[in-house]
Amino acid sequence: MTGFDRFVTESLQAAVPRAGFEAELGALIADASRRPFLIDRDQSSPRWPWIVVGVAGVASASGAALWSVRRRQRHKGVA
Amino acid sequence: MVVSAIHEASLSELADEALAARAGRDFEAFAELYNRYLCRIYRFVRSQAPDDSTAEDLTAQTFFKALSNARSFRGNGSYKSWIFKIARNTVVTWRARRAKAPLVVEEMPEPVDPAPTPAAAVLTGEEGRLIRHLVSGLPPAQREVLSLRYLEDLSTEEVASITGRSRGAIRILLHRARASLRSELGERGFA
Repeated sequence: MTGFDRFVTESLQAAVPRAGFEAELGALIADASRRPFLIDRDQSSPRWPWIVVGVAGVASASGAALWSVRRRQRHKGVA
Repeated sequence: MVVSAIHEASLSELADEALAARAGRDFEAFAELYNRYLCRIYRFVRSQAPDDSTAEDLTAQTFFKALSNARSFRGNGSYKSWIFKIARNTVVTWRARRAKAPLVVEEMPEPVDPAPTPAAAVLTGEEGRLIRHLVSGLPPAQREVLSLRYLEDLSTEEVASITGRSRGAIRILLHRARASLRSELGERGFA
C-alpha cells in the first residue's frame, strides 16, 4: 500500500458511528427479531403465499355463493 | 448463565459464513455479525451519504434487510460481500429516490472512537477533512468503488460482485477516482 493509499484509507476510516448508535440500533433489531411476523415478511417463507391463497380462496367461495344465490333469485323472479 | 457464556464464546470464534448460516434461526449469531459489521457498514455508508443522520438511517435499513433476509444467504460467497451488497443497494435506492434533490455535503464529524489508530489520529485535522470532502465530491460510482476498495480492502472481484460491474469497469473507476484525488490534493499542495 502506498502512502497515498494509506492516507485515503485512514481518512475514510476516521468516520465512526456516534456514541450510542450501536446500542440504539441493536435494541431496535433485537426487538424486531422477537416479532417473527415482521421478520418473515421478506423471506421465502410459505406464510405469505398461503395467506394470499387463503384470502383468494375465501373471496372466490364468497363470490360463487353470492352468484348462486342471485341466480336462484333470478330464476324465481325475485331479482 | 454458564451455558449462555459458553454459547457467546463459541459464537465469537465462528467465521462469518458459519454465523450467517445460523443467523436465520439464532438471533445471537446475527448479533455477533452485527457487532462485527456495524462500524464497517457505517463507514461505507457514511462515505456515500451527505450527513450523519442519513448514514444512520441507511445503516439501520441495511441491518434490518440483513436480518429479514438472513435465511436467504446461500453461502456461495463471503458474508462480507453479501452484506456490503445490501448496503450498496440500500444507498443506490436512497440515491435514486432523491436524484433530483441537490446533494448537500456536510462536514464529517471528528472521530469519537476512544482508541483511533495512530494514523487516524494524525488525520483528524485539515488533511483528513479535505480527503473526506474530496471523496464526497466524486461521482457516486467512483465514490462507492473507492470506499469499498480502501475501507474494506476488497478485491476487484469482490467490488465487481457487490456493485454489479465488470472487473474492468471497477479498475477504470478506481483509476479515475485516484487520479482525481491526486490531482485535487496536488493543487492544494498535499500530494
